[in-house]
Amino acid sequence: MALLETRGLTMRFGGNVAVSDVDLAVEGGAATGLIGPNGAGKTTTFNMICGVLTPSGGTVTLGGRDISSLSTHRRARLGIGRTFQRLEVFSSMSVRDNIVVGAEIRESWARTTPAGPQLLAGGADLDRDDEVSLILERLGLMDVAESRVGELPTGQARLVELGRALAIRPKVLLLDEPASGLDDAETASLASLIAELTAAGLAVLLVEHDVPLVMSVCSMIYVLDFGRIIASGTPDQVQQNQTVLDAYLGSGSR
Amino acid sequence: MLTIILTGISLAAIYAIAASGLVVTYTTTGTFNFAHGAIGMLAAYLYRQATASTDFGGWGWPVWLGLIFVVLFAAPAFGVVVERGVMRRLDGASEVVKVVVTVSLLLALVGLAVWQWPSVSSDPEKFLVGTSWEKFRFGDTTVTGHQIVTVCVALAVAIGLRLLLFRTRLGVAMRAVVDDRNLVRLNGAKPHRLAMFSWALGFSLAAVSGVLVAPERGLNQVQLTLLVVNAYAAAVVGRLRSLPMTFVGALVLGIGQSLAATKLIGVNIGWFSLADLQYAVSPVLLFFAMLFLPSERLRAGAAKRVRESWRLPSLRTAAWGALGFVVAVVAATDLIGADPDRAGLVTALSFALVALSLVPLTGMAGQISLAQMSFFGVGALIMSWIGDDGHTVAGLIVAIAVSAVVGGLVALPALRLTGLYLALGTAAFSLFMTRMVFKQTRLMPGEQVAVPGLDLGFATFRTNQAQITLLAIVFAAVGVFVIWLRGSSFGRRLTAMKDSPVACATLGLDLTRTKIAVFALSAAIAGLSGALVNRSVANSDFELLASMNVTMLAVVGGVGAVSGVLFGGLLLGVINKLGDVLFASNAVGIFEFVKIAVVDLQKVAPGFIGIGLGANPSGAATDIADTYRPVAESRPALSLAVGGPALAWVLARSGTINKWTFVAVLAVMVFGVIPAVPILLRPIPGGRASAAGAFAIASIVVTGAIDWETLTASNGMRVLWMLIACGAVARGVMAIHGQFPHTGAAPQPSPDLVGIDRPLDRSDAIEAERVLGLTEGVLRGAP
Repeated sequence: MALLETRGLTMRFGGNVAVSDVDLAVEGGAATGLIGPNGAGKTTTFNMICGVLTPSGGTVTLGGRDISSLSTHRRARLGIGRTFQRLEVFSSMSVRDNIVVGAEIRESWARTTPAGPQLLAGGADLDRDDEVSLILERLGLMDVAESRVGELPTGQARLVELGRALAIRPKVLLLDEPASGLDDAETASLASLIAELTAAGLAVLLVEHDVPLVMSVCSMIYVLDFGRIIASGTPDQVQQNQTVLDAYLGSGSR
Repeated sequence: MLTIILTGISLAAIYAIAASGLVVTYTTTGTFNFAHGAIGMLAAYLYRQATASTDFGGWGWPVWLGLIFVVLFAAPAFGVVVERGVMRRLDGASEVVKVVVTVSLLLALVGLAVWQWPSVSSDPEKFLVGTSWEKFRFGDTTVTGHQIVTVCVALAVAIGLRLLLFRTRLGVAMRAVVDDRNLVRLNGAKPHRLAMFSWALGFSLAAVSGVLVAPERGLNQVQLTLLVVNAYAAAVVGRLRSLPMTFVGALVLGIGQSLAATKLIGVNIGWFSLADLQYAVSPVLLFFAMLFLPSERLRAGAAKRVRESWRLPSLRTAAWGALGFVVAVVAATDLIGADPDRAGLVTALSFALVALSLVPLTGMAGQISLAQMSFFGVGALIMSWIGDDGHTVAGLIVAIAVSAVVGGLVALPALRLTGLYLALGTAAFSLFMTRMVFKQTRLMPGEQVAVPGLDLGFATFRTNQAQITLLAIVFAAVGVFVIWLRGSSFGRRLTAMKDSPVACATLGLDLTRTKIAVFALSAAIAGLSGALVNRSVANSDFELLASMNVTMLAVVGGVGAVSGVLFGGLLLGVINKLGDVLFASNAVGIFEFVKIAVVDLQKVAPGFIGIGLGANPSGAATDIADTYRPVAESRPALSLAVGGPALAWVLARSGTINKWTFVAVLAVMVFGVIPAVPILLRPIPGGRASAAGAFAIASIVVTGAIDWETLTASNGMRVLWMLIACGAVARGVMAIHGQFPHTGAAPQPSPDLVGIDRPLDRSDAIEAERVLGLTEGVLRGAP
């Protein structure tokens, strides 16, 4: 059984079915891609997994436990971290404080709900300051650590969100278009960071429009269109799939 | 029984009209109009003014003309003015600022009505039409013509709104603007015109309800305003969205009130009298409605650009500031001759302490409360019970603890929801407390209670001077605590929660618990100030309007900063109390040439100050802080800022200069000279610093040489002259120096509307490249 699973996840807004009957399996120690055209329901699926939206139907299980009825913060404590497609940084605070808040919030709940190890540190136990510095360093944010996040370009602000999510030491990390706004070099280092985290045991669910990035880091890919999963498989399988080519990559590609 | 229900239905009709106006404005503009009740009240007065016969000071218009004038002309016109002048600038402002601006409008209108119509009587029977009302009898049941008219009007409003929203282009556009303002604009509609229309419509409906309710309850500014406030509850039952559910809410409210008014007179539970429950039906209904509302949906992508900004002083600076504050307050009071004259300052400091309770809640967490004076009352009440026989320290501790617990419980139902519901919930709590709790003879005999002063054993606080010293020390201590809190883990969490609640939830933060904690803390500080009040307090001190005043002026002063709420609190104290003392000799005109009674100005001023907040959501304190920040960073300027007033104080204390001269010298130094010192000290080519410095010193000396006491008999004129002197000195210094300081940054237009509001230009291309992380020059077509 996969670490994170959804069964029949469905979301209706009035008469409009945004997500319909989505089954996902996100394995630990691997990155899983979720791709699809704009409006396919990717972010809605994320919102249902982390509890921001209550699904109209279906279940979410984490490590075999049904977490469908838990609130957002309870799910976060059980190990679901995420970033946002539209930025949700603490824009009036410094970059460092954004990460510090993440670490502090984790420390406050970790007394009752044990958190996992810090994967960036190879599981070593760090004190808070060291852990925050490590995260800043690994995300290349050391130079802007004292800047207000509201003043950063979008790409760097996304990295702040990623760092903040890592500060709660999640078991599953949902990344919503982390590479948009990054240049090629930054995207490459993001890819290697994701590879390192998954190698250390993290489960990553990646929504991304940068198809080469998805193909390179993900071992499993789901393709969503009009709220339904139209294909799934390894990067190679998905790239060969005619339905996918028609719906998403454009019928002319490959 | 049927009579009761029919009375209830006619009451319900009035609430339904008022509440539907609220809902229409809220859904189409996103602003909940707290002033709705005051509009209704004002309309009732205006209607009475227009239709009353000239013998009674009216204009003697016929009823139909009065109705058309008030409902179809004056009210909508006023709505348009308010939308254009005030609300339009609030686009993108935080919930707190929106609430405070409409609350300010309420206060300003109540003040205006009290000023214009200090006492008018209306014959309820003759209010709506010139002839007396027929009473219809069906067996035991009596119905008045007024009740029938009311119900018919409500039905007409219901049908009219339904047709408007679903059958007309305008209505469809109004419903669309609810979803996405910018999208509607892109599709060619004009959201500002829609907003204007919906404010006009909302004001008209408020006017209708005001005119209909006045004959039932008589003309009284505050009572009428609060009556329409009852409609909040009906609107909440409709979740501020659904008009049919709003009508259902109004029905429950009206019948409930009617039942309570007749069936519960003289009913007691133990010693707890239910006699006034009719006035508490609305708060109770509002609470129940909130309990059954679904939890606020966390919204991703709702994070706003932060318009407010504050800088955080270091703990060291805060401690020095606190010490300086206590010394300054004690020194200043020492100059006031007789102890009773210091009473105004006691009140002002007391308000400042209540306002301080809003720094964690509103400044840090972005939540708003309209019940701080109720917690103040809880604190005062408990101190009076426990502290009565000498256990004042225990009384203080219990008062703080109980206020915190009550605060947490009150906030519980509202905190699951958005900030607006907290404002509504606390307003309801405040009404409930004044109507039900502080009215109980057992708790507050005669609706007032004497609160004993703190007795520490080694120190008691019997005189005003001692009380001022105590309050200054407590304010300074709590202020330092609040600043420490802001830099603490909890404070960071609150700021984070204000910036993005949804992100906090996905980090594992329990938003509700965090909000309850900060609300309890805030209530505890308000309770503390109540426990320290050291005088006799009355139910009226704890009213909703009193709480609204405190919250408004705290936000106006700058609720993110301790100095800001100090400014706001003192301002409220000055307006409420000091003004009476200071300008008592100016009973007719504040200045000899303006014939406005100071007391009247005092009624209206705070509201209008609050309405101005839209222009500067960070509050006045940030502007002041921006001006004086260079002073704190420049050692010579700082020593002048400390040494100058100290020297003047010594001269005043020793009798060398009189007190008014001291005030004048202080004003010229603080407002005219000190802000300029850092600029004079900075080497600027072409600046004539030494000449300007000599002018500054000379003007201080000249100010000190003038005998301000005998200059003019009017305090108002003295203050005016001082202001002129300050301005002249500041202008003079800068003119001689030849360099004017730059203040303020240009406002940032919304990037979403580039190309719609204004044409694209080169700087947009540069900005777009930066934001999108593109190679420089790509969008500009550079190689």
